[in-house]
Amino acid sequence: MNIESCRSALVGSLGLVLDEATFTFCEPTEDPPPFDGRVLGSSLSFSGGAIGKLYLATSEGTARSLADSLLGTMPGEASEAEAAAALQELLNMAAGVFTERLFGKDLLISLTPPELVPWAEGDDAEEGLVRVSLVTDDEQRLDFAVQL
Amino acid sequence: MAYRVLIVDDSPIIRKMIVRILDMLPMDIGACLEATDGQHALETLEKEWVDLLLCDVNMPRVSGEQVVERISGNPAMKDLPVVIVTSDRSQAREEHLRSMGVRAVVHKPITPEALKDALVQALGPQAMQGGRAA
Repeated sequence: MNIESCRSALVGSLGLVLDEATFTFCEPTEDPPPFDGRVLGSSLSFSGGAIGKLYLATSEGTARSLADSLLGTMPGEASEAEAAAALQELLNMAAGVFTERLFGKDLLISLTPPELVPWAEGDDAEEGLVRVSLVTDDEQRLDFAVQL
Repeated sequence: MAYRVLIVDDSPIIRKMIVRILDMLPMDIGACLEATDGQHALETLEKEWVDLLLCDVNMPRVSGEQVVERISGNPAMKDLPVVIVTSDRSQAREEHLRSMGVRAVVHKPITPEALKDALVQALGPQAMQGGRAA
């Protein structure tokens, strides 16, 4: 699989989901700022016509503000559990768009329910990861990665 | 008619979002019941009267596809209108679900417009003639 197509599908799918679901505009960056506080990570696997694993990570504070947008609650109102659930659901939504963009609609692909995972910076090439970083208008970082 | 709706999704965020969107639509909602996965949905359907099922596909224990299979094979439930709300965009899966009687499919991220269109497909335009936003 071409790494540039993967990167483009990662950026496009997460960008679309954040825009449509949370009204958050973000852009890819090659020079991401550090995460602002504790990092929450989530992953899910896909199988069938293609096999792989997707990861999404951001700070707990950003996850809370995304949860507020998803739920239509006041800023800061979302709980820690809702922040984690929001991260998992955004990954689930982005996974559907990503697999459609990369493999098309004709391939039968099944997604597992997303789960929370520890997040650690590592050697992407060694782990077979293709990763993109996106930043929101207020410089909050989200990382989206695929392992094929 | 006040609709009794069963919302089936393992994500509490999605269940809350759907309740919020239903509240915005010009639809008379009698009750919003919630189930956290397919098994919970089947148990709820055995005990409660439901006019509309809004169901995710990828869930632990029993998937949405398995729920639809069980409903379509049950003479007492086979006419229950089912709308699938899913991240899954596979054409083959959508065709399979529709072949089992699913009336509409909405892809996540859900918008109020997309859910409204799906509910009109599933229930007819008269479904949007009640509620607070009417």
